[in-house]
Amino acid sequence: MAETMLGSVAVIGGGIAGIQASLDMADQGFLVHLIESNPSIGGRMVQLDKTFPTLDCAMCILGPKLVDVQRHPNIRLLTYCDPQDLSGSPGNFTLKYLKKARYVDEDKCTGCGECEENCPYWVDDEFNEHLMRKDKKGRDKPGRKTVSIPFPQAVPKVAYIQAHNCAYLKKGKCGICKKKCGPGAINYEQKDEVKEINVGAVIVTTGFDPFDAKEISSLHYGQFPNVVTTLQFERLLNASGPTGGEVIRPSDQKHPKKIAFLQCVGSRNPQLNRNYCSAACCMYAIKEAIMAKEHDPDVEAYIYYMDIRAFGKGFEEFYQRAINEFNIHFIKSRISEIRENPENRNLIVKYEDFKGTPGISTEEMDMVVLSTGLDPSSHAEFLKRDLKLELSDTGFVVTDPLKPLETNQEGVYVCGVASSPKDIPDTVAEASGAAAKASILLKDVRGTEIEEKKLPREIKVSPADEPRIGVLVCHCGHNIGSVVDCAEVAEYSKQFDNVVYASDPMYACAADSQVVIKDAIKEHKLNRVIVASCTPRTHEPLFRSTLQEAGLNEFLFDLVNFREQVSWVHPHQEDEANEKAKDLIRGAITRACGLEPLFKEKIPIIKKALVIGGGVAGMTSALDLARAGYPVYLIEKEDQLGGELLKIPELHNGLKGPEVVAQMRKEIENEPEITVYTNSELEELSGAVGKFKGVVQGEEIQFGAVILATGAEPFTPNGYYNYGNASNVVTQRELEERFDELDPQNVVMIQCVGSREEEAPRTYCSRICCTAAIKNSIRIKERNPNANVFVLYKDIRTYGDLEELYLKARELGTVFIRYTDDNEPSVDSNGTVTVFDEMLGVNLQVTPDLVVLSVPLVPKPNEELGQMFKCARGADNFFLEAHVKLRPIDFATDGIFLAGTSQFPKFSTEAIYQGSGAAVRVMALLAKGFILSEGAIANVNQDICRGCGRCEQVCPFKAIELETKTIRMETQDLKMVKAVVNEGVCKGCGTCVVTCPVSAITIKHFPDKLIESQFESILTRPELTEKVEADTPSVEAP
Amino acid sequence: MTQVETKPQIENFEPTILVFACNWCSYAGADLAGVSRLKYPSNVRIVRVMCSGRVDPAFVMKAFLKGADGVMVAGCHPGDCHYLEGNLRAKERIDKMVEAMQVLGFKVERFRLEWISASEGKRFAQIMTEFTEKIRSLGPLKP
Repeated sequence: MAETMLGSVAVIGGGIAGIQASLDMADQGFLVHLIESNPSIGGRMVQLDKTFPTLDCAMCILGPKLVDVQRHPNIRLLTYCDPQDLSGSPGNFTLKYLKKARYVDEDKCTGCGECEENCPYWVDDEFNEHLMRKDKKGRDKPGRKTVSIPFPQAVPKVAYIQAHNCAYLKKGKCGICKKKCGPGAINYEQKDEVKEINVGAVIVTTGFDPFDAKEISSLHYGQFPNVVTTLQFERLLNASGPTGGEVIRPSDQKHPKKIAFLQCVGSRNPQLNRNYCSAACCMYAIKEAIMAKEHDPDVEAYIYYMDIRAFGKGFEEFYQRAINEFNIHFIKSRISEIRENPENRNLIVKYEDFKGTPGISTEEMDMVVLSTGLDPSSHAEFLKRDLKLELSDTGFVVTDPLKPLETNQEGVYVCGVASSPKDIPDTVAEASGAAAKASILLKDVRGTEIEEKKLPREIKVSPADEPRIGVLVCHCGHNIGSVVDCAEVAEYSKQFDNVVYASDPMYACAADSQVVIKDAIKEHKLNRVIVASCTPRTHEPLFRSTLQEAGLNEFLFDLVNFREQVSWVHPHQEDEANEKAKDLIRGAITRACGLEPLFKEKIPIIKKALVIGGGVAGMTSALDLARAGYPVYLIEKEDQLGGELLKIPELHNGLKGPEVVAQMRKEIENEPEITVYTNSELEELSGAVGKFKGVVQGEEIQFGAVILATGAEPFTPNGYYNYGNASNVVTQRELEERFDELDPQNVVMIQCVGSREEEAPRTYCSRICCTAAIKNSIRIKERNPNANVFVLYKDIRTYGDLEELYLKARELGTVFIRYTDDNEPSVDSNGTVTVFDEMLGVNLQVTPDLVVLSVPLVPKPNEELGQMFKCARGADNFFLEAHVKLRPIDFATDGIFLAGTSQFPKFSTEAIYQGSGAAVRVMALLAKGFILSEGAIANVNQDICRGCGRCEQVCPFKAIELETKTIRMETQDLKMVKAVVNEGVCKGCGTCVVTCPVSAITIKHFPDKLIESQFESILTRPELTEKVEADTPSVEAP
Repeated sequence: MTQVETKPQIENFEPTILVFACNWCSYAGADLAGVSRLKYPSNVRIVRVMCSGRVDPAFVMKAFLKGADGVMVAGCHPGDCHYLEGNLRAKERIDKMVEAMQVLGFKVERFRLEWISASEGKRFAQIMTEFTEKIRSLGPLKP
C-alpha cells in the first residue's frame, strides 16, 4: 500500500463498462481519468441498432450516458489515448499513456463538421464495420472522410484525421480542412505524446474485439461479398448506418429475402483455441433476425445453431417470440461450408442437421450473417505485459470465483468482457461492482482530488423585474450562416422590447464567445440569455455554466436549435429558413420573458444502508458498504446468514458452499459497521430515498437507501415425472444433499422440469440448471466411472467458460440426448424412462435407479416486500429492475436497489458482483450526504389540490404521495388529503401536471404558461414597425 | 400590437405544422435528421418538451386555435420512455382527445401521435414530409 493515497482512478476502456464504472466513481467524489483508445467513448454498444430482449434503440439508452460522462465535473476524458505502462503501488500508481495525434485541437474544435464536409478523400469506415458506400456510378467506395467526427453522437464531438491517409500529412498537398476550419482547430504539426497521470486505482474495461471470421476459410468471409458479420448487419439495420437502415446485399444492392445466421463462428471451437461460448451471440442473432423481418416481412430468416443459449432475463421468452410470432427458422446443425453461386452470388449453406438426415443438406441463401464470437480485445497484450495481469489461455483476465472483480494485482480491478464473454446487463452490474472495490481501497481519500467549482454570488432576479434579454445568433462557421442570415435575425430580435442586446458570433460555443456572453451580461444587465445555435441536448450545459460564471441562474437560459432544425434540413431555401428562424427566435424570446431562476435543493440524507436478505449477494453488499465506511443493517429471515449457498455442498467450480458462507460470516462478525438481525423481517416502512424509517424486531431503524437481496429457491416439481410419489425421483438439489448416500449405477437427468413452460410464471430459462446437472454428472462419473449418466435436454446452456465443464462431462462419457417440446420424455409406473432420440429417429428406453429433475429457481416470497417498497415484479415474479439493459441493479424508484437471485437465477459469482454493484449504487447516493433535486420539478399548489390522488397513480417514480393534513378551521380541526411532491425523487417529466383535474400542479421551467406562450408566439407573426413587446406571460407567484 | 394572421391564400398554401417533441427520443431523432442533412419541409416548427406525457391535449387544441394547420406529438417508442411510461400516458389522453375531435366533426387527420426514436433521423424527416404534404392537401384550417 502506498504512503500517499490518491483519490483518483484510471478507467481503461470507454465502452459501456468503462462508462458505468466512471460514473459510479465520479458520483462519489473520486476523480476519474477515462482512457479510450478510439477517438470517441461508447465502445461496441454505439454500433448496435437495437438491444435484446426489449428491442430498445441502443443509442436512445446509451446517448444520455455518454452526455452524463462528458458533463461530469469529476471525469477527465482521455480519448484517442493508448495506455502504456503502470508503475507504483496500490493507492498511488503512475500510468503512462500515449496521446495519439488527432491533428485537431480538442479545445478549439466545435464539432461543426465543416472539415469533414469539405475533405475530398475517403477512407475505410471502421465505425460502420468497413462497409462500403456506392458512388454515383454504383462503384464501391470507402465510407468515411480522412478527417471526420467518429459518429454523430460522439463524445467528445471532436474531429480527427487519419494520418496514414491524409494527403497533406503524407505529401504536403491539400490542406483544405485547415482552410475551411473556422475556429482554427486543425493542426498538422501535432505529434504523438507520451503523458502520465497518477491514480490510486485502475479499473480495466478493455472489452472485446469481434472474432475475425477470415480465420475460418470454409466460410469465405471477405471473399464472398454477401457473407457479412453480425456487427456489419447491425450497421445495415441502423437508420444512421451506411445504407440509411436499408438491408441490402453488398454485391448488388438488392434486398435479401432469405437470410441465414450461422452461430458459434469463433466460439465453442477447440481447434481455434476458443473453447468458450461467447454468451451473447445467440441472442443478438435472434434480435437481428427479428429486425430483418420487421424491416421486410417477406424475409425468411434461418438460424443454424448448436444450442440456443437464451439464459438471461427475458431471453427465453424472446426466443419463443422469434419462433411463434416471427416464424424464424431454427435449425440445429453443424455447418460444413459456404459456397457461392457465381451467377447470382447467392450462397449455398452446407450443413449436417441433428435430426438424423443422412449426409449433408444444402440451402441457397441471399445473404449469410456470421455470428462472430467475442475475442479478448487487442489490448490484452498490454494487460499482460504492462499491467502484469494474469490472463487465461484464451486471453481473458483471470479472476477468483469469490472475487470476480479483482485481479492478481492489488489495486487493479476488472469488469465486463475483459474477464469473460458476457452481455450488457452483466457487464453493467460488474462495472458497478468494480467501482465498489476501488472505492473501498480509496475510501479515506475520497474527495481529495476534485475541486468544487467556485461560482460568484448569484444576481437576484425576481419575476417582477423587467426581462432584459440578450440574444446571440451563432453562424457556426458556414453551418448556419450559409443558410440563415444571422445578422438579420439578430437585428430582428432587437426589435422586441425586452431584447436589449443581440449579436451574431461566428462560434457561440468557442471559448472567446463565453467571455463575450459574460461581458454582455454585466454591461447590459442581462437577466435572460438566448443562444440560437445547435441542439440543447449537447450544448445547453456549456452555456448554462457560462451564465453561472457570470452570476446568472442557469435556468434563465434558452437555446434555439437553428443548425439541426433549420440550416441543415432546409438548405437552398433561404427565405423559408429565415422565416422559420425568426418564428423560432420569437417563440424563445416570449418564453424567456417568463423564465424564473430555479434552485437545486440539497436534501440531506441518512448515511446508513439497509440490506434485506443475508445470502451471498446480501452479505457481499453489506461487507462492501461497511468496508467503504457506511453503517449497514442486515436483515435475514432465517436463523443464520448464508441463504441457499449453505445447502450446496459443492459448487461447479469446486468451492464448498458452507465453507464460503462460514468465511463470509466471520468477515461480517469482524465488521463493526454491520448490525445483523437474524430471524427477522422488516415490519414497517415509511419515507423515501434519503430518509427511510423501518421497524425490525420492534426497534426503529433509519436508513438512506436499501438493497433487496431476498434470493430464490428451487421449485418443487410436484406432479412432474412422478416426483413426490416415486422415491427414486429427486431434484438436483436433493441429489447433492444426499450425494454420499445415493450411489446410483444408472442415472437419468431431465432438464427444464418446470421451466421454459408455455404459461407464466415459469416461462424463463433458469440459467444455472444445465451447469448444475453437468457438475453432478461429473461428480457421479468421477466417483464411479462405470456409472451411466444420461442427460435429457432441450439446449445445453453452458455459456462462457462453463462450456469447459460440458466438454469435460462428454469426455467422461455422460450421454446427452436432446428432446423437444413436442416429444417430452416420459416416466412410467415401473420407472422406465422413454425419450425420442431425434438423431437416431427411435425411442430410447432406460430403467435407471435414479431420476434427477433439473428444476428452476423461483423467487422466495417477495410480494409483501415489493408492495412495501412499491417495487414491481415481472411476470416471472422476480423483482423487476429499472431497465433490463443499463440499470440491472436499480429499481425505478430512487434509493432502492436489488442484487442476487431476487432479480433472476444466477451463480454465486454473479450474485457476488451484483452485490458489490448494488453496494456502489448506494455509496454514490450516500457519499455526498445529500440529494440534489432536479430544479425543474413538479410543485403542488396546496390550496387548489383536492387530494384525488390521480397524480400519485401516474407518477412513474413514486415521487408524489398523498398526505393527510390537519387544518384548523374556526373551532374544529379538518382533515384534508393533499398531494405532496418529494423533491429528491421527482425527475420533472410533467405527466402529473396533465393528469391533475384541477390544475393544481405546475412543473417548473416547463409550466403550461411558458409552453403555451412559446408556441402561440411561434404561430403568431406580429407586424413589426417599431419596438414591440414580447408577450410577457403573466407569472404566478411561487 | 397588431397581429396579422399567418395564413396565406389557398393557392400556394404553405401550412404551419407544430410538433411537440420529447427531449429524449423524438427531439434527438430531429437532431439526427439534421446531422444527417436530411431535408424536410420548412413548415415544421418544433417545440421541445421533456416527455410526450407533458403534452396537455389542451395544447393541441390551442395550437389549432392559434393558427397551426397540423399538430403532431412525438415521443419515444413504447418501452423506450426515459420516464418509463410517460408516452403511454400521452397516448391514453390523446386517444381520448382524438375521439372528442371526431365527435365535434374536426378532421382528425390534422393531428398525429408518432413514436420516433433517437436513431430514426431518416424516419423523422419522412414523417415530417409526409405529414406536411397531407396537411397541404387538406388545405388551411381557417380558409
